[in-house]
Amino acid sequence: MHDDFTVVFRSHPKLLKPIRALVRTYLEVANFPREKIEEIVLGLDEACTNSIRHAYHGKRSGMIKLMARLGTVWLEFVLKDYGISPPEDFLNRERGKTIEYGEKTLIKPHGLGLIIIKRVFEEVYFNVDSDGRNCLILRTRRK
Amino acid sequence: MSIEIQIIEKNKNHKIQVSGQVDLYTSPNLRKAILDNVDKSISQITIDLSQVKYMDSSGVATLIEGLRSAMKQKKTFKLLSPSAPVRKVLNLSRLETVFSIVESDEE
Repeated sequence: MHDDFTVVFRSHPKLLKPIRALVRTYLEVANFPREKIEEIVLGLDEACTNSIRHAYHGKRSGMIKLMARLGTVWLEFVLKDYGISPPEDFLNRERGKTIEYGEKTLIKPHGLGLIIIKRVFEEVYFNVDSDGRNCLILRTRRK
Repeated sequence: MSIEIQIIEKNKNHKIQVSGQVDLYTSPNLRKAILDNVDKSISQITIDLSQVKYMDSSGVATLIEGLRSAMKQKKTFKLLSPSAPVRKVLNLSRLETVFSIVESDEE
């Protein structure tokens, strides 16, 4: 497995659109099916959004590093930032708590991004590396 | 800006037509449009999502907030003809059944 691309960008929400375009083009070149491309782009966008919102608390000058690797079996993205680390168990925390409104049961918006990430990618790992960077590893099978 | 929002006022029904991409950068504009209109003297608000090319969870959260606000004020809140990307994010969020989704203005 080798790095196909690495891009470093600021934690500015306006940059999400060009990052999505880059990832979409990369996946098109790698011949992923259209529906899978849109799911991966969404899942990765959610991960970048979480970095901006939660690691940097909306600060627009943080640095985010995105790497993509395409192996024979797996497509892997590694997302790194220098922001505030989430709790160690955040990937396993209960999400999608509900609120009752009349006859409707609504899911609290908080945590929706993580729900999406975990439904798009078969494997999701998080660690803090030796330089103190948050590392989110997202993997999905090529087929 | 990669989002366009148009408000169509028809009696007590307001329709918000959204086109473009709804994400962390653009969703505050949609949020303002929805909440401003929910607070007006209307009975129904319809969000036309047929021209939305992309939506992420911040867009979904915005729609939930609009729905909650409308329900509190006993107003009807509908999504009109969500595009494929909108349906995809609603499905992945497991929120397809939370919203009233209609395919035409007449419903």
